[in-house]
Formats: sequence, structure tokens, C-alpha cells
Amino acid sequence: MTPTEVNSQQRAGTSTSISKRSLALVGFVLATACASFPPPTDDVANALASVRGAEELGAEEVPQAKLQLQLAREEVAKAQALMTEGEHESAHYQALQASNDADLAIALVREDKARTVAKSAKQRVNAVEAGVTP
Amino acid sequence: MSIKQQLLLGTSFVMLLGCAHTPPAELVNAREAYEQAAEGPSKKYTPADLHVAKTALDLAEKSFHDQEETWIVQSQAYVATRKAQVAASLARTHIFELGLAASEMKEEQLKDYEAAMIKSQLATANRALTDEQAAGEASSREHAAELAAEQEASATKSRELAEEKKLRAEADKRAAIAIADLARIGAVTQETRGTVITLSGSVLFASSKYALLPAAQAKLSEVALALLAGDPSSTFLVEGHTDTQGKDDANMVLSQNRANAVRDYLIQHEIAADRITAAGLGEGRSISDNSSAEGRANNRRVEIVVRPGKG
Repeated sequence: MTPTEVNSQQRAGTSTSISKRSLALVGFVLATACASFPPPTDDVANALASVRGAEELGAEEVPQAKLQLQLAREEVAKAQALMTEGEHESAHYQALQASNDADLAIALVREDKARTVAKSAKQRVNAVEAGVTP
Repeated sequence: MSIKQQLLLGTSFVMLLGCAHTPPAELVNAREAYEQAAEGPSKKYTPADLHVAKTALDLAEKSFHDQEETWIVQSQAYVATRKAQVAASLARTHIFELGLAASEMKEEQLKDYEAAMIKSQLATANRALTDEQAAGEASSREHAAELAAEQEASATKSRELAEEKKLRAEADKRAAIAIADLARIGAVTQETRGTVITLSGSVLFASSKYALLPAAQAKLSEVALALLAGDPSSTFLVEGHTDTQGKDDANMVLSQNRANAVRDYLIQHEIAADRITAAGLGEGRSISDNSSAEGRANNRRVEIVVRPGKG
């Protein structure tokens, strides 16, 4: 018999006390949930990466995207400040907002580019067509 | 009343209260943003992103329903709004990309057409140059010989002119007969790009297939005869079109394969390969409403564009 099997047999015998203990544990975790919210380092890093992505794509040049980019920058700064203050949960939500504002900025820049390219292609075709067909 | 029943009643009362509290403006905005995205082209072109937006909205709704702290509901709703806007933006981007692809294809076709025109103009210019050279050589010869040559040339020219006139008249007559023949096989319309013969997709092909049906072969043979009888300098463009069911790129491939099948069949039936090109245009150029079965049947079609030859 391996040690693990011995353990599980012992556990089966004391299941009542185990469930009491796990209940207490759950209660403890719930009570300390707010205090133990982990620092949202990844969320903030993701938000920063999205902001940088939007900047590199040229969000500054597209009015609608520029607005979202500014919001994202403000939110990311706020998230960083909140994290320093130990307000991890608030920082987490701020960072998510920043990420999503930056993602929207990226989508809007791409949309603007696609619109411009499609429009000029259409104009080219129209011009050629006008020349070819009598 | 048992304790259990009392408990149940209490719970439902609390739930009622839960439903009654007013949603924050952010949540109202998020609902609206999602509704807008879901009603737009996102449903068709970016369903995955729309689903991400829905999941985000559901999360905010759940937090609201569970009476989480308001600022959490607000933040989650804010994120949901952005996700709905992203889905809508991506769908619009997709539409622009489709438009670009269509323009590029059209540009390619126009380029081919222009190249053919330039080639024929060049050939004409070359012929004229050769004639001039010949004339120049003739002038260096003796006067009598020159005169004879000139007379000969002028006689040939007038014969050629008469011949050409006759050929043109015949070609015009053949074209008229050919169009009348075609009208019995498919819908024939006159458009700026030429005479367009529209053949119903359901007559030509089985669903999602590009092998010609036996009935289609008989029809296409007639088309081939009619096209052969027409102006011999005209060229043909075979265009495949589908309805909007199924994936875009699959439809693009299917329409190209169908156009190729029709082109190959016409080539097998004596139409010179260099007179005929095939293009698959997918679902982009609907002529009827895609929301009805009848409309979709109209959109599944092959168009043969007869472009008049030069001269």
C-alpha cells in the first residue's frame, strides 16, 4: 500500500471534520477576498501593450481613434497609481477599461485605413471604366 | 406555511427587489451598443467578436443582477460597450476589404481589356507603316511600273474595302440573329459593358457543385452556336455569381470554378480560348434580395458578357 492510499483512507474516515475545515477556509477566503486581491500586474502590462500598439498604428492621426487612445492613456495611468496605493481591484478594472479603449482605437485606425484604400481603388476603377467604355 | 415555503417566498421577494433597482447609465449604453452591433453587419462578418461583446455584456448584467458594487457594474459595462464597438468596427473594415477586392478584380479585367485594345491598335499602326514603306519603294521604281503598281494597289484597296463592307454587313446580321437565338436560352440585356446573357445557376449546376448538369450542356451548346454565329471579333467574359449563403471565400472559389466550367465548355465547342475569360465574383454582386429563396435563386447565376470587337 502506497502512502497516498493510506492518506485517502484516513481522510475518508474523518470526512466530517474535513468539510467543516474547508467551510471555515472558504469563509476565511471570502472575508479576506478584498484584501488579498492580487496586484493586476498582467492587466496593466496588457493595457500598456495595447496603448503602444495603437500608437504605432498611427491612432494619433485618426480623430476618433485619437480620442480612444487618450482615454486609454489616462486609464492606464490611473490603474498604475491605484496599484501603487494597494487598490488592486480598482486597478484591475481600470486596466481592463484602458485595454479595451486602446483595442477600439486600433480597430478604428484599421477601419479608417481600409476605408481609404477601398475608396481610392473604387475611384481608380471608375476613372478607367469611364475611359474604356464608350 | 412551512419554513421552506417562507424561505422561498422571501427569496423571490428579494429577487423581485433585485430586478427593480435601476441600471447605471453605462449598462444602458452597453445594451444599446450591443443591440446596434448585433443589428448591423457584425452578425454576418464578425460573429466571433460579437459573441465576445455579448459575453462582456452578460458579465455586466450578472454583476448588476447580483447587486455587485455599482462601480464594478459600471466598469464592466464600459468594457462591454467598447467590445461591441470593436465588433462593429471590424465588420465595417471587412466590408471595405470586400469592396477593395472587388475593385481590384475589376481593375484587372479592365487592364486586360485595355491591353487587348492597345495590341490591336498597334497591329493596325504596323500595317499602315508597312503599306507606307511599300509605297516608298514603289516610288523609287520606274514611272510606268509605279503607275501600274499604284493602280493595282488602288484596285486592291477598293476590292478590300468592298469586301470589308460586305463582311461588316454580314457580321451585323449574324450578331442580330445570334442575340435573338440567345434570348430563347437566357435573359439577354444590353448594358454599357456589352450584351449580357444571364443563365440561372440552378439550371447549370447542382447545389455547391461546379460540374455542369446534362441539361446545362444542351443549353450551353446552343449558347456556343449563337456566340459563334455572332461578330467574330467580339470577346466574352464569363462571370460566376453566388448568393450570400455560405462563407465568402468559399463562394468566391465556387463562383470561379463555375465560371471556369462554363468557359471550358464553350472552348470545347469551338470558341477560341483567347476570346473568352472567366471570373468568379462570389456573392458581391447580388441582383435580387438575398433574404428570400426566390431572390437567392436569381443571384445564383452565370453571366456571359459579349463585348463588341473593335472596328
